[in-house]
Amino acid sequence: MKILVCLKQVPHKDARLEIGSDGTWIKEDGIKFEINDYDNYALEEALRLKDAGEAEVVVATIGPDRVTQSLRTALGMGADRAIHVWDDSLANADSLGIAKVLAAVAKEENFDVVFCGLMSDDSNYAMVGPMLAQLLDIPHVTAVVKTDFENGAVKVEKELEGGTLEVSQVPLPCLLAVQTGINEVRYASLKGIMQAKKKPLDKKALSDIGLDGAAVAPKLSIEKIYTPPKGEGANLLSGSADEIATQMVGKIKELGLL
Amino acid sequence: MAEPDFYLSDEQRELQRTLREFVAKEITPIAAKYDTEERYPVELFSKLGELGYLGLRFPEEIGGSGGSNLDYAILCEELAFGSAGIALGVYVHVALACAALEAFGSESLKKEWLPPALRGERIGAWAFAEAGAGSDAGSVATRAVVDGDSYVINGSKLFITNGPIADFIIVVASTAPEQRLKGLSLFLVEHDRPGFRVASVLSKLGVRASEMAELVFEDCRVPRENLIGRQDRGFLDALRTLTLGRIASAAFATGVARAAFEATLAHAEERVQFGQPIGSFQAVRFGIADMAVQIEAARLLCHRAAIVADRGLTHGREANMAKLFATEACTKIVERALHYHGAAGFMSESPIQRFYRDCKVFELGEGSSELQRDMIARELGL
Repeated sequence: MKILVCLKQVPHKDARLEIGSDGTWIKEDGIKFEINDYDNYALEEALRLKDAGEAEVVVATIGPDRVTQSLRTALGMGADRAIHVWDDSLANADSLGIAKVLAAVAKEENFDVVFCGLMSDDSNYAMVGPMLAQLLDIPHVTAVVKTDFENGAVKVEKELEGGTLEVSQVPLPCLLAVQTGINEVRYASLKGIMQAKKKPLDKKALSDIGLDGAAVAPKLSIEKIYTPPKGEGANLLSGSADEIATQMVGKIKELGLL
Repeated sequence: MAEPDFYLSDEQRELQRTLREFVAKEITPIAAKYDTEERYPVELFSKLGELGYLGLRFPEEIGGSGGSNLDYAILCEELAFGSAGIALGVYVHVALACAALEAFGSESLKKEWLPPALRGERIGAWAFAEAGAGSDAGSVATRAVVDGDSYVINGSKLFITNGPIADFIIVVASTAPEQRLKGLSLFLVEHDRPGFRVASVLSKLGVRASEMAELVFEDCRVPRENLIGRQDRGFLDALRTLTLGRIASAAFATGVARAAFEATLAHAEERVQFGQPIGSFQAVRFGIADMAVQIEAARLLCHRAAIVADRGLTHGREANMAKLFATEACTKIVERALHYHGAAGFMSESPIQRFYRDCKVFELGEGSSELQRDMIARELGL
């Protein structure tokens, strides 16, 4: 079985974020980056398939030089090889542009399963997975919380609202966009870290995968990002600790979260 | 803030990153509980072993993972960032017990004990100190006497980290008392060997997640094969070989200091007095800036010693300086951290009071500050 895991590198969850001077993105200088949390679970799901039998796990990402560090992390955790695509024209790519690049990468090889995270921690669109499946003309399931591979197909549980689950049987090849918590993500072993550098990491330009800047030109552009002003939308509860707790549980139930 | 870590390899950065993740999920959340209960989370040994971290610096043939002294310094700093007590237990197991066994043990002893020890399935302790022997190593009174195919060990050992949880103990005993330091040998004693017992479990001010005991040997008979290294010279050989202690101490101190610093930085931004965060007051700003400088300097001295050792050069001076500076800086930093936290840091539920109790041990163990100064002065020709 051949598995592609699509990774995105996002700002570290502990990074102090400041809005950049043009107001459309954060300042990326001097902050740390890490693998998008959803993608860690996607990678772990793929590595479990590898542990269970014959599978090759390929990780792919798009981004400037700094993303090779995340690919090395994935290789250290057990992925077999990595593909890194970059072109300056991808700096402002939208979801469709990213999906087109990943589709071009995926089409170069016959993957049985494409794993990706349900969404990214930084932009939250949750669009790349379904778009990529569409471009590859393969079925997909999002918010995957359980997989069971058997006889060329996979039984998938998908999370719906209010704790309901949807079960479906999906033929391979397919794309699964994974929800966090589906598994327990492993740590890279010392041996894994030491071996990561010896594993193949292919750097590709757009022209290597049959694309150019025009093909991935964004149709969506960010006008402005900003921090919501303080003091709006907060609901201050008052009373004793018990009263506040009761009110809080009521509010949580009201929102359908319990 | 970008780390001034230009000298680290990609693998070392990755090691550091993975360890930070491991510590944040597996150690920091349990640190207070085990400190309070004065208990070691023994299951951590197998978690660290499975990932190959206990095997760092050990050859692959016996289940090790290879690696350098600098890798080891990174491991020590990160473990101590989560819990100094937990870090200490790991250190005694790998850097003293397993390292002595690996360096001087017979092939059969190594084969029997090292693979499970490096997987974290067997825990080791190092029994040197006694009521009358600390900095003055020649005063060890525990005796081992040859009797047929055995050695018979008699004596008691004090302040033995991992004593209550160890499966095997590397014991320093005198085989030629008149020769003092030149008459000390090493023996492997299994925890279920007749004549060996844990006499008492000791309660401590700090590093309470590590367990410490007084051990007693009464006519404890061990086979001759359990002698580790040369008779009469085993301890001196070990002293010359197991030189990582001071580098590890410096790294532990850097880790604890960094934990205190990060908590203080966050506190200074969140705690509002007189209508502004306390971090905007000069007294606090300057203090926190000093902490940052001291931590960077401590880490650089520690890493320099490790790098010099990795190059196979004499590194005694570098290790002494790193140990002295980092451990004293840690105590100062933690004191300031508690001060800036005020009453909140004084409360039992605050990790700051734990750092305050933990930090002092690093100035005492692996050669006190006075010993370090004395050795540095000697290096300077005084």
